[in-house]
Amino acid sequence: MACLAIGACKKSSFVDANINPNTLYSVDPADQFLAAAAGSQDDFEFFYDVLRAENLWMQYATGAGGTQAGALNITGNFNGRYAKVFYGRTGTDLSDVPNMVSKLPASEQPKRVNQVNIAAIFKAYYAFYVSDINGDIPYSQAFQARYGGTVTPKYDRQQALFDTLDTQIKKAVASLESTDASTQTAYGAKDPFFPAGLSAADEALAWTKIGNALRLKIAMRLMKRDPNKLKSIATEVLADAKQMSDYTDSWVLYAGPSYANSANQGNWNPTGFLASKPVVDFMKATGDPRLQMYYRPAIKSGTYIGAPTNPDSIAPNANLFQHSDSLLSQLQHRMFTPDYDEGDGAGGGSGQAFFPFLTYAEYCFIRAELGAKSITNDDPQAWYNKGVEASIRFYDARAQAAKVTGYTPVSDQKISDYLTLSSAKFDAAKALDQIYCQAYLDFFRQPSEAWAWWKRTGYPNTTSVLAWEPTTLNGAALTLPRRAALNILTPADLNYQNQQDAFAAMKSDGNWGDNPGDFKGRVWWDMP
Amino acid sequence: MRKSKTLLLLTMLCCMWSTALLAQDRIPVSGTVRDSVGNPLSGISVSVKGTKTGTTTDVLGNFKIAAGREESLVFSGIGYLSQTVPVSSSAFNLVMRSDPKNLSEVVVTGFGQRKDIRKVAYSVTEIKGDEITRANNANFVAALQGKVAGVYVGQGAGGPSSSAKIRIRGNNSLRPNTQPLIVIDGILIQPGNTGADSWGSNKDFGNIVKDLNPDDYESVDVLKGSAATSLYGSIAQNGVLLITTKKGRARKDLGITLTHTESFDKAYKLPDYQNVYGGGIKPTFDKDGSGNDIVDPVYANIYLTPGEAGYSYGPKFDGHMVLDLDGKMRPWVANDPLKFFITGKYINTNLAIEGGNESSTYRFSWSNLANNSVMPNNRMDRNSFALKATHKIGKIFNLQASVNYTMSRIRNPILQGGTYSPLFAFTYLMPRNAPIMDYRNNYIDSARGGYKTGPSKDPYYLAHTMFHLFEENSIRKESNLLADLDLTINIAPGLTGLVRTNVTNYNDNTEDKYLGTGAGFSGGSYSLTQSSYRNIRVQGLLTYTKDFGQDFSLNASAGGETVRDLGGFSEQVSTNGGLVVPGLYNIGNSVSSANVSVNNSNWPYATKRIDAVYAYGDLTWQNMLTVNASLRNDWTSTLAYQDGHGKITALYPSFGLSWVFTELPMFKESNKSILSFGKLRASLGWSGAYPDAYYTNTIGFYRQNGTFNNSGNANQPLYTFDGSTLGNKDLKAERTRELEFGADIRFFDNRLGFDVAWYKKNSFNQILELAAPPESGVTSRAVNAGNIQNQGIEILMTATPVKTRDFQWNATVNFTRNRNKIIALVPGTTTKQLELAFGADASANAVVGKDYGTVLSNYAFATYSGKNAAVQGKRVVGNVNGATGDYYTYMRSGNYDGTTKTLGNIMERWMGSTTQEFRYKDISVSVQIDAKIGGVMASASHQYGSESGNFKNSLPGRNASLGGVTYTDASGSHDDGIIPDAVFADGTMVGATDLGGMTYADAVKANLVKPIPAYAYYENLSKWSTGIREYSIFENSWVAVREVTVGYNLPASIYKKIKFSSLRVSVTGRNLGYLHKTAKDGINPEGFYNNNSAGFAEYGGLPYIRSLGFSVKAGF
Repeated sequence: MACLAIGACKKSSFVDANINPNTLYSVDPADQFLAAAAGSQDDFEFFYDVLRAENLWMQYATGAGGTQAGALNITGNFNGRYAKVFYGRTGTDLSDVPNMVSKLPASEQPKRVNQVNIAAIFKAYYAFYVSDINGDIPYSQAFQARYGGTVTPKYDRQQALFDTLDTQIKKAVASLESTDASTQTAYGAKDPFFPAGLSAADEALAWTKIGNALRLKIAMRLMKRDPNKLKSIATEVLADAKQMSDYTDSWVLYAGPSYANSANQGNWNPTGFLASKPVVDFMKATGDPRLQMYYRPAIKSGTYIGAPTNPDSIAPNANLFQHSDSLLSQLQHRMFTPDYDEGDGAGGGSGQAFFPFLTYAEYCFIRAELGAKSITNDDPQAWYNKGVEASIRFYDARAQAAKVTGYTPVSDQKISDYLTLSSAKFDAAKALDQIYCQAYLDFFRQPSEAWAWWKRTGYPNTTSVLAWEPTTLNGAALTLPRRAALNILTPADLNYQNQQDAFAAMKSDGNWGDNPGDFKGRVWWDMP
Repeated sequence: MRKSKTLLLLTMLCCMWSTALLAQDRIPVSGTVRDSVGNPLSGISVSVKGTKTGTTTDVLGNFKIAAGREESLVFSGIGYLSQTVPVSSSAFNLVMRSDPKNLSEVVVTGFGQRKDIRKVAYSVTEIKGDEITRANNANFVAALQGKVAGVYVGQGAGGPSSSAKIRIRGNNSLRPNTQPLIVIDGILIQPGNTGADSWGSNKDFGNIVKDLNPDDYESVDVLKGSAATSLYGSIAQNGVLLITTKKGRARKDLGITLTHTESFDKAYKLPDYQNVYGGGIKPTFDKDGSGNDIVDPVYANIYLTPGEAGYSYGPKFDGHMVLDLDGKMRPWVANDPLKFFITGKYINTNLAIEGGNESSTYRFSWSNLANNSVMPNNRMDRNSFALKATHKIGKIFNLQASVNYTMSRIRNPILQGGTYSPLFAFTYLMPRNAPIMDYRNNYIDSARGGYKTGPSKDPYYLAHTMFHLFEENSIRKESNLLADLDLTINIAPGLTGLVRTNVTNYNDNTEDKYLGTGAGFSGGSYSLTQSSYRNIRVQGLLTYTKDFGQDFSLNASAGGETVRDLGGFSEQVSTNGGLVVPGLYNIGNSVSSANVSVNNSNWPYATKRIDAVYAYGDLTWQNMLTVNASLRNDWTSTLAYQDGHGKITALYPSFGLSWVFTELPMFKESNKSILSFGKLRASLGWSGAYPDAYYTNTIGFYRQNGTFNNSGNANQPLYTFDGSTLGNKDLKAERTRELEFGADIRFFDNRLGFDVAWYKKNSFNQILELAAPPESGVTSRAVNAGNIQNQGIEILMTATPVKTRDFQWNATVNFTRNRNKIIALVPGTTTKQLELAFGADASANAVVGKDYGTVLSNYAFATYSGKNAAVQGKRVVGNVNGATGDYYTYMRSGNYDGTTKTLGNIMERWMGSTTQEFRYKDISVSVQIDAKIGGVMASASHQYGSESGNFKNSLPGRNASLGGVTYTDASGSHDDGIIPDAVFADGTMVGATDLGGMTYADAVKANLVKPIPAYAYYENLSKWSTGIREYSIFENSWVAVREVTVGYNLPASIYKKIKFSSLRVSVTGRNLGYLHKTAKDGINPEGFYNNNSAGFAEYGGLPYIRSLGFSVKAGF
């Protein structure tokens, strides 16, 4: 009757009423790529993994009251890279790139070969980054629910995963090198790693270099586990002429000032964290040009003063810590949150933010180490010098782009002085020690990678050229975490059994630890 | 509107005319008619015997009529014995006695029809407007607390605007909103969810209920069961509150009523703070260079050891002067956070003017509410206008128009959750000596600008707190128009038609004015949010009434309607990067270009359309047996998919049977029966629920999802997945089936009555998002599944134990027992998370086979399951990551052996309430006590508040006199040792000894471990990183003295002198206290931070608040 009276019970009018004006039924593959990149950084991960954990473990910084023993443990919210970033955003978005390409008209699909390959490299890196501290993770069967696949993906063993990823990157690089770039649609402005907007040919070249460097980076984890495989991958990669050769080849996410904003008490904001004494003292002793890029002078003295990092140093330095906001150096805020208001009356900053994934400097230190260990024929000194220079030039460029107030750009002379006159000068007798410590300094904005190198090499330590303070509590030595504390799913969780199986498999390794939460245990690659 | 105005003018003219025509040979007679309890009776017809002269009593029971001195007045009203009284004086009071044999109560059901209770086959409870207004609460839903069997009401904690929570007969759905539909004069309103969540803070501006003004309500009828609500079909799964607004009555003159109420709220109780020990962790003071005792500069200071500071284990309070952390000398005393709170004032004034004649009536009402809460800087003001008019056009057409317009203004709803929610701010890491009031007006750093900050200027974070409370202001203005026009057409004898059209038009704007906290007040922000939406409803209905012979009477209706949510949007414009000129709140003052965001796709801004046709009716035999049935078919847009598929219809039938067995000859003929009325009823009905608008065309697809601020400082739009839920192509409506049996039996001339209802309600095809492993690429999947059952019993007992001419005692008792069980979810899934607490550390869940709201946590006390068989099940201590001082502490169950423990259920086992009313002559006293027994709550205030020694629960063991164990360690001898009643986890090594399975006490005896210092014991037990959440999840039962009202109807001799026609004064106390409560350590049992169905947590909350107020109601 109402229908008759109103005359409108046609279904189409009900459909029309239920159309969400904001819904899209498909997007361009490049949009998913941009979303994956934009989603790769997370304020929770930054706060709980970087600022409050890895930065303190790696003695880049201390808390406002020093580094407490408790901070050398994994507590809550650690491992933001796993569910939130990789499975929640970056991995799902990248997995949708081939899907979106397959929905394009048949004539358009061949133009997107490189886009699919670049997404594959990016996704491989992230899977590696997650597995790096989690061990076995779902990968081969992951991300399939939206395409009719399983909602309960099994876990890949880390060993198999590393093989899978190497193959995936190798294939992508080969395709990038063999596909005629002039037929390809570039990500262009949708690729925030190269914000200038590369041509299809330059994009293919840039990602070929990244792919090659990434294969090396992953293979380095095998140094103890499977040195033969490391050697064969390194040999294969270095046979390709397309290699990183300048800090501008680095794989870095570049963003604007409000991406990782300094919102009051926000998670990105490093306010309240202090420069560490071991790093400050080393940099001061060597005249390291990066000192002003990493830290700010203490307010009261105008000089660089680092905070003792040992938990047992807190009590003897109570007076220092009590006035830490004025007596001690803080982190160089704008290198983290470029919109930070430095309180100089000029208001918030408007510079660029940056998040390194794989820098040319790291690539150089990898080659220096490979050479020093005679795995390749690389000259350790040459690659050490290239690495240090790349690191300084990279951070110098970033400090300028971040608009650090009062920043003085680094001169060529300063770099050469550092490499030739200071104790940072290459010394073949201490080659590995120096390479590791310089890599450590370069990882200032990648403390997670510093942590991985520390696990693999044991550097830095209390006797390395850059010497850490010991970490003790009431004189008893404290040990650092080596992997994520894994949360056990409830039995009601659909993937409970797969996770249980993965735990059992990892535990069989012997070094994994007593239980999933045992963060002092080791993942597969991390051999004692 | 224009029509209404014309009508009003006409009616007013008519009134004057009729006043002028008063007969000269009669005297004016006036008086008041009340019921046996003393409540004024409106609508009683008063006529001069043997003449056509007549009137009806007004809302205050008053009448005026002209009659000859020798004549008599006849008083009659439905359900009352008629009385004939000679006109012997010019003023008198009359008490109407109810008619025990001809009980004819009327309730409002269905689409607003008044119906004799004899014919109603399901449970309906009617609450009169007066009962609601006397609660002196801006939120009429909150005023329903304890008044209706089967209905749970929870008060909001965010101040007067805050949403109350209402749930009728349990949760029928796993969705967060299970509040009933509100129907006011035929206008459909869905109250929303508001409040904070387990993660952070929020200012609860409340839902639309706060814009509804109970001053204008004649009654609220609560339709509980599906048979009662199935006429509303797909939007009535959770019951219906059917509001009938007051309308004017035909009378000779203007009826003016003025009501003024003032009620005062007082914060009277806090959690159980200890007032013995101040800041620090040692019992003595250090001295500064001048010999002053100084407050512990490290352990009392919030800044210095973040997360592990603000301890209250310092020296005993003794009042002597000490040097505080901010350099000021202060007496060493405990603070009293209650002093921070102010007197809340609820001041409401209502002016109602009514009148009418045989063809038209009108009622105009204006209410002004000024209501500040106990929280400084929080208030709500409301102006409501209501006009209701009726007009007969000839014999065929009747018009009824009603317009309600409300404007409210809300300032700073009290923060719930997060660092700055008031009690949390005064508790968390806040030593007991923190000088709260010193910072009340002294939080700005006058040299630097912004707030005081740093360990020496703001050692207790109080400047931060006060700055947030007083310099970050949010003000919302709402306006809400509800307009309805009903045209009734008398088509033929017994056949009427109704055309009803109505509209809702809602607008608000909110300004957030945040002063900058930085140097020179840099930073800061301003945002302006505006939203609006409109809904319309058009209904057509044909009704036929006929008696067939002596025995049958039929009432049948058929009709249809369309309900359209026309949509709207919410738009926020906010400054970006701070304000150029601090304190200038203007979008143009933004440092960077302003941010704009628009929401046009979520409720209530989404468009929606529901069309329906229906038929319903009842057939009564011999005034004894009534059969009723209804059938509704819905077409809804919300089940339509963009590609045109989707099953958009659903059918909702209902059947009922009502048998007034006291109409049987055996009862009718015997005057000896103690039974005065008896009715049995049975009903079966279906109702339902649909997905949210746009849902089917949103999940699983893509959208623009934020922007990426790229290195060129441009905001690049991101186009990606819209959420992480896997879509479902075959969603259908949720369906609820309810079977109800009831009895209404009264004895001794209605002096004792029982209304009992038993029901069993099952909801199927729940539209759920069930969790999926995130590694699959989605985190949840939309499904139709499940079976949720609510089964319960409701008992209402009414009694009049004493009834004399001058004194009467009436008592009612309500009892409700509802069992809200999860019978099934989707196959393969046993648990669906409903609501979180403490971030994500505990949750309320739907677990198959258990009751709705099972509380789970893997942060519960671990229980021993290791190698020592003798101590299985004891609590476990061990090395716990992040433990203060690395002392042993209780292990969390999840960390110990991966277990997630069940810690109870959020749903009450039963509810009860009683109202006792006493009347002696013109004085009446009413007392309402209500109880909720069972159900657990989670308290973040308790958990984090316990961590630094602020509550009395941290006193035991802190020194020898309080039971502390004495021990010696490297730093000397101590008497603050605590030995936990627990065993060590296997693998806890001391040197080469494995303490596993050994009790802590035995390990102390064996000199393997030391007792734990009290400060570390308590901190580790409840702090964020190591705390046991089970410690702060506890049963929340209470018996509350909800309301005490004393009313006095002033004698005519007084009010006549001041030219009033009536005067009633009443005093009401609300929320006076608890006779019983189980919430731990003084935590407020009714301070929940949102009104979600499964909400069970507080976070900051409020002090206990009681109110006392008076109301004066005068008729002119």
